[in-house]
Amino acid sequence: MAKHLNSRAAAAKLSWQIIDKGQSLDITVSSFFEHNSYSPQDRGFIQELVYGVSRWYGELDAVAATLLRSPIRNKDRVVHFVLLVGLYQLRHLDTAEHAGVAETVSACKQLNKQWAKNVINGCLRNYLRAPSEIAENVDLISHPQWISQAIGKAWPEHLNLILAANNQRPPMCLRVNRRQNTRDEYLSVLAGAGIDAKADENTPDGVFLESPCAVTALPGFEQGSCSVQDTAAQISADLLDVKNGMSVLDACAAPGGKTAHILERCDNKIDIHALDISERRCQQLHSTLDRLELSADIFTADASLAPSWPLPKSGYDRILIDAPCSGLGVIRRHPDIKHHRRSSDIDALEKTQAGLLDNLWLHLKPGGIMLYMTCSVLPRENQQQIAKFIARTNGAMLINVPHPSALTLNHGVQTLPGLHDMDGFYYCLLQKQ
Amino acid sequence: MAILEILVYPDQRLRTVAKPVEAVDDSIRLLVKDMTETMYDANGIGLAATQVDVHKQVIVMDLSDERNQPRVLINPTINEQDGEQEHDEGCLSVPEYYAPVKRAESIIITALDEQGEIYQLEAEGLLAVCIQHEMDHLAGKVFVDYLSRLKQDRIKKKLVKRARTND
Repeated sequence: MAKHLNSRAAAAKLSWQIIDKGQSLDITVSSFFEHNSYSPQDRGFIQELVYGVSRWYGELDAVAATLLRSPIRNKDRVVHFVLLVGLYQLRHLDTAEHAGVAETVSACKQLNKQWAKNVINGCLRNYLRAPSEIAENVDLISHPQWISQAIGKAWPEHLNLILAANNQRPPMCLRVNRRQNTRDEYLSVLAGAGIDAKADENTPDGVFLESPCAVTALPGFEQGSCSVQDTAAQISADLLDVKNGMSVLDACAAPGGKTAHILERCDNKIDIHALDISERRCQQLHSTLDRLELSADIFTADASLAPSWPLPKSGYDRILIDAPCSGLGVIRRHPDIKHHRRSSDIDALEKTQAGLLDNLWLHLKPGGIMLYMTCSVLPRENQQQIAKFIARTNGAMLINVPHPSALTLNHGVQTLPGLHDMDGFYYCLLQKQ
Repeated sequence: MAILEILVYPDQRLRTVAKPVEAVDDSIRLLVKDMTETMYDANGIGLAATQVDVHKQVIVMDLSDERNQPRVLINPTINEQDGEQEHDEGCLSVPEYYAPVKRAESIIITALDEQGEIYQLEAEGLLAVCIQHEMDHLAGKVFVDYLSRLKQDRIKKKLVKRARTND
């Protein structure tokens, strides 16, 4: 039996599937690793290459165009991605030049594109001869134009900061399960395991890791000691302020991080309904809660339609809508958003978001509170969406959002990657009179 | 020691069914040495004697990254198998082609080592895949046989064409 593809060949093949064929990065990479056994080091390196090429595609593609005498034919597109993988190493990683080039060239052979060895070798060596000359006048922003324009229109004074942060590797953030250990206790467990970490000032349960690691390397992860969750998402549990005895709805709950966090806060002693529209994602929700030994009533349902799940008699005390959105606030974590999201998607998302607000508002108790949030930085999905909702809804009142650091808007608050040390999230609290 | 020539699909000699080894003697030990060297040279993790045109039930394997944990399986038989897994497989006789194949998740086998001593081995994951892949070779089978007719034809054409251009 032959050894599996080398890291560069694997990364080129995966990047090609993600960027050209429109497959999701998360799913493509995880199913690849399910079927191929690589060492943890190789896995980490392949991931670094795949995320890197996805992040810097605009720039790498422009550099590649200056190096290639003619574009690679469509049926050999994987070779184009071999070149991008090679350029990513030379431009953004400190791989030794010669090892990087040699391994990348041999990736051609592994991908059954022997003829391309000379092309790739020539391009990479030409690049090394005069990297700065070639790199001039190329797209260094590496964002599709419609995305940088939409962000620039919304946040002109923060545009460069946001775009730069979108291209950075995000820190790995954990949420400590306070039912099992305090944050300080878990920090010392991490220190004992040789993992550098510090408390996240913005949240009571958050921890930043100095450098990312596999979850399997985290002490007690399988037993539920902690979860992986960005600061911005963790703050939702603080904002929702759930108390024992309340009835709670998490309307778009999968994969379950926020549901679990609310339950951890209440020592698993509240009744929470967790919905998701996708059966597959409801399975993820189940496994998230099982790992943490938490329980919720999980229903596969479309929360923007008439309820197909059993409602509490007098409505909910708290409703969390983490609405489906463009994801333009989490590009640093999901760089494939740059390639898969289309500007035309926003109209449909706006409609879905409005439908969720209108429909779920009916099931909120008088005096009850709704938290509407997105991981987007576009006003259309955020403050404009809420302004319109308030204008058409009797008895919907904005209340103060006690966020530690977000920008305060006329309607709700916003975090921005780069400006805040977290993902770009929008939050708004609405009370029913 | 010597590096042996590896047969390339669709060479008909890969269809030969291997015979059990009657006595593990010096000639078998030399074969094992040569096969191991050939496997390392070709960057493989397993090689069956069939692939070097010797039709005896001999397999060498090494799954370690450091390439320092060779295994020898002579006259292997599968006693038990359980579960299912799918893994992307590649083969030194089908160069540069990888495709997913369904195999048993775990197996228990009996085999002889290069001293002729019998041993039992419980294997799962990649080790189980590799053993099943190599044992197929001894039975005259190649992993390509598990793929669709269309894919088989495509691979065949490519490899035949390449053999011609390399001549």
